[in-house]
Amino acid sequence: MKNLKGNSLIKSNAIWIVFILEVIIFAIASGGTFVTGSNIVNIARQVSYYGIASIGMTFVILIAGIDLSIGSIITLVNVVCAFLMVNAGMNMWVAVLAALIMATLIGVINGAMVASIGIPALIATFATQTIFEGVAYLISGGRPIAGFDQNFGLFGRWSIGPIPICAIIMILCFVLGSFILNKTYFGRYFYAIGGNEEAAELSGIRVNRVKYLIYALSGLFAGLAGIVLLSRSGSAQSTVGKGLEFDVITCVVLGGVSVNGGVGRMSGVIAGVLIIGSLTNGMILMDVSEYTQMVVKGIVLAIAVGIDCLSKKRQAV
Amino acid sequence: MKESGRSFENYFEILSPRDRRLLFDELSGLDEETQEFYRRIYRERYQDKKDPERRVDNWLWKAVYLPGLYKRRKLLGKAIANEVAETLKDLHLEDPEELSETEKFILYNEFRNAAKRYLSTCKGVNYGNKLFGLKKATEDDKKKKACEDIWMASRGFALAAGEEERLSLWCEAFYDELMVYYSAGKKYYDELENNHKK
Repeated sequence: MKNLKGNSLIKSNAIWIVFILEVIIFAIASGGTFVTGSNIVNIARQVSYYGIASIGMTFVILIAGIDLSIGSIITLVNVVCAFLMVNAGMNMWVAVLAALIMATLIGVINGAMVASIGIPALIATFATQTIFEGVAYLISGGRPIAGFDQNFGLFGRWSIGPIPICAIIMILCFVLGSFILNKTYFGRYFYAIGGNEEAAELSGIRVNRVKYLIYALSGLFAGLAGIVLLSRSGSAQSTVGKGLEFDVITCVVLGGVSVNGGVGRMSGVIAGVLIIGSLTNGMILMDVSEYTQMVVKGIVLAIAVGIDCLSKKRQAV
Repeated sequence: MKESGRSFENYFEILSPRDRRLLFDELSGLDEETQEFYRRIYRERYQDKKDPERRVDNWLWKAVYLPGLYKRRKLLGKAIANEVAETLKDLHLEDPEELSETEKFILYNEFRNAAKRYLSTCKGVNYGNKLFGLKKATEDDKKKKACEDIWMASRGFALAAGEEERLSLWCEAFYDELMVYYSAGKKYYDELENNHKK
């Protein structure tokens, strides 16, 4: 009986065990550099933007959808926010607000294509990914935009004591995401739609409306991630978000959110974010080339999806 | 749970709330109390508490929502307790011993109707699809997923809540309807039951 309880405890916390093992391995391999205070703060800064973006992606994957456009939303928010502050001379807060509204509206466009027109999420968000990547190039002319207000460092470079503000923003977003999933009717609707969309509709849920909301939230969180990234880097680049969606999807799926929809929790996603963040940081410390990092992350994504599919298959046998 | 000699049995076979309502005219052969119970159950099932004009199915919602709650049962201890109390109240199962035979008959068949309506959605093109909806589910996949959903919404939820006894009518109705839909699923249903115990 004790053994069974132990097994179940290990199973339900497997993702955290993987994270701890990863930390131990990198700590040993880096001769202790990996676990120094400054490196932990560095990891916190690195994970903050895709941690924030992964919250919206979690909602989308829970309803058995996907949002490939978040990388280009991050890029576009970067470019537009920087453009408004530098080229249009707009106040920092107004520019941030305008960029976030724009990101949310892009999410609404995704929602309209998926919910109202019925385009598969993969195709719809792939299309908007291409469109908004192009728009970012058009606005910036392919050149970096820099030289904005010093105070803009607030979102990505400033700290309260030893804790970076971007990490605090990420934690607050996770708390909000967790609250939405577990304590609100909307959270219930996400799971219900992911489980059986037609039955959810018949039972009275306005499925299309919820889908709009979910894609809008995905856009909003990606926009916030874009602001944090812009603040951290200090200049807007038209390639900054390229491929970020795959890191975010890896975090979410690794965190136990099923690619089939209807299953997953925010605590798992936090672990997924920490694993990918530590993996990236550990590989940088060990001087692993960027291309090898891509290979490793791709393998991690394949393994995470593979485990999800296999566990579903095993359940069904 | 079967009762013969009722003139109203078609009522429980029909899935459309509007069509079911039309059959209320045929209730006149029943006594006043039974008629009122039928009407009350209909209202409670199909009327939105906040917006009475909206068409909903509160019991179908239980079938949709409870599997999700079952999957997150370890995370949501308190939510399960609240949901159990709410579900028992909504389904008139707070004190099943107090129910008359007629009330039990009506509730059992109404639960079966809710399960039947749920299972009718399990044949849809999107049901059970995998990998962000890219991989279409086979008929067998759909039946197995339906079996899982029905088990989680009934026995799974009852076991997680420790309310097997009070929810037995709900579980029995869901199981009976599942066996009509997927008679070969008994073995799989039993497996789900055993896996939960593990």
